Amino acid sequence: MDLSGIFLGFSIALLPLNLFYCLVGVTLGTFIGVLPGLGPLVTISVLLPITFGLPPETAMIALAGIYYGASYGGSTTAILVNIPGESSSVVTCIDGYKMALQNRAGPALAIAALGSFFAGSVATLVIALFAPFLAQSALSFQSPEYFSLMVLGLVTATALSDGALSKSIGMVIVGILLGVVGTDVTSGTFRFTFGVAQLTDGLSFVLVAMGVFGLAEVIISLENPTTRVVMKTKIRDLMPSRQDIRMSIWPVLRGTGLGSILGILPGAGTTISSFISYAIEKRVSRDPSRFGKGAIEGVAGPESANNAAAQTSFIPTLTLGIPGSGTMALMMGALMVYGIAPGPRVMTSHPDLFWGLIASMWIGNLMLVILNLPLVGLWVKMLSVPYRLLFPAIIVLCAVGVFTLASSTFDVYLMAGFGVFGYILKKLDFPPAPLLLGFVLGPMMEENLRRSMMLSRGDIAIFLERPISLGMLILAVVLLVLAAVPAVRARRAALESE
Amino acid sequence: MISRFNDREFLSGLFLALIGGIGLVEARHYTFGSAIRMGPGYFPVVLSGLLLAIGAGIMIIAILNFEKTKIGAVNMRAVVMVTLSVVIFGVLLRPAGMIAAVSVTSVFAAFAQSGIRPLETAALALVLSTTMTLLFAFALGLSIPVWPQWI
Repeated sequence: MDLSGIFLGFSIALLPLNLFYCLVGVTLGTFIGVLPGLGPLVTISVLLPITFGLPPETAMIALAGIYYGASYGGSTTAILVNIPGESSSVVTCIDGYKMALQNRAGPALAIAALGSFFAGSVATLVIALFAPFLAQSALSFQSPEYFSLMVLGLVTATALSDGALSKSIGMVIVGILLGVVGTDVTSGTFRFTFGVAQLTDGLSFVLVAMGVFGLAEVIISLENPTTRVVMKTKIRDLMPSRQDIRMSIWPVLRGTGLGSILGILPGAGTTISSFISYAIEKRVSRDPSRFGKGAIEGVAGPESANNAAAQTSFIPTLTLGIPGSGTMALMMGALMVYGIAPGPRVMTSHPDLFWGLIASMWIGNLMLVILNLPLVGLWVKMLSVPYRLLFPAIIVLCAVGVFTLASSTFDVYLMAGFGVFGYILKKLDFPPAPLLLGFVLGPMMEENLRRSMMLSRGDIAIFLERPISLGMLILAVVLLVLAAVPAVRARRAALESE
Repeated sequence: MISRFNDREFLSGLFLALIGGIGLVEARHYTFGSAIRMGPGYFPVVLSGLLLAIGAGIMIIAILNFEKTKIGAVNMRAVVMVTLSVVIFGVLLRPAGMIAAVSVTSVFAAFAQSGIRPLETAALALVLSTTMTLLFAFALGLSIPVWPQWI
């Protein structure tokens, strides 16, 4: 087993600059994880312009820290205040809050943090072992395989996203069309520029992300203000009892395994992992009636699952260039702005970025465990920051940030427009992640489709003749059918309401 | 009473169909090409057409569906003020510099909610304009006008 990558990774991750930004990232991530209404997707969108001054690996380390840090913060408020800071913490509310009411908030928080740390460590190992293997096998990919892989990625994302399937597919197509805006690489034709000179280079995805996620989110939050009740639960003792630990071992192990695997699949994410983990724990338990009344397995399993998934979801993004979720699409977009095209070659052409990122994930997890437990009281105080002080800051950050991309005030107006666009999407109940995925993958899909067609002299069967491509397309069709079957959808809805 | 224009699903379909329609109308000008040599118009036309079909489908199902979902109430104040606060930033940045622009933006933003607290808004404007200027213009060293043009 070639461990040189891991050594390289740690040598990079332990550089003072990267350590600092890792700390910044996970702290910020915990902070926004604690605050309901502000999630990793929004935060990363808004902060992207700020990270552009940093070297690429440092920026990725910080952004990744925000991403998996948020799941730690989300569990804190889920347990203490029954408010999920993140959608992946919804399940933790069920038993976690009950435990807090029984004066067992300390053990719940401790188990959540420790379970997450274990899961994060294992997931880091999974990435280190699995990713090179995946990248190797992907080196033989050519245009048809890439095209089919992207189709699979988009299909998985739509199949597993909430909301109507037709709307998800619609969003993907809208996203692809937005990606088409600009100059066609092959022919030089201006497409969808409507005579506007500033659009000839295409839409900046950061701009779109900030508008659709940042601004729209602000408008929606202003529409539905959530009243936060901060209940004072005294955290007496952080130490879990021996029995707590004993009962948590298997849920943590199961959750870690589940999350690690589900995270790799494009489309499945932290939220689904936590839901499925809860369902499994309940089904496997000797006394399922304890669930909902403060069963520690209901905290240990889901928290481990969502953290493992948060990290392994980097695998398809980094090794194949297929982002599995909206946030991963953001990360990938950020990489592309740096001129690093994610794909099988990333490991060999930018090993310091790849391995440095992986090593920093483990370090970040360590920081989080050390940070979170003692500072729990501080995080809860954060909840009392009123939204009316936060949202102007978000708006200003977006406005200034988008300007700095190209020193263009036109971009500012354009982003405002996308804010309204994103608001409409939310009002009409369109899932936003497929839009971003389509936007990031669309142009590449077209490129690969064109090349494949030229390779095959117009024979569409090329996608079906090559075994890998065929396999992926079959999988995509199966997933689409499964997602459309009403029974599966009802099951998912039931899972979500559990 | 849920009319066509309150029906969330109908509007969703309409939204998609409109985008698809605009895409088709625009993309038909581009060279279509053939399967072997796809022109710039191939992908956009096919996708726009697909989108139009999906949108139309959703609209039809919405009309036929007995159960309708009403669209949530729109807080026009929030929509307008948030959008306006971003736009005003773009308008003011070059002539007035960042400090002024951020201040005005945060004041506009504060108006997005009901109930204004003048002292708090003023303080927030001050804090935001100074921190943002320090962060972007100085700490990150980006070229962004800080002071008004006539200074």
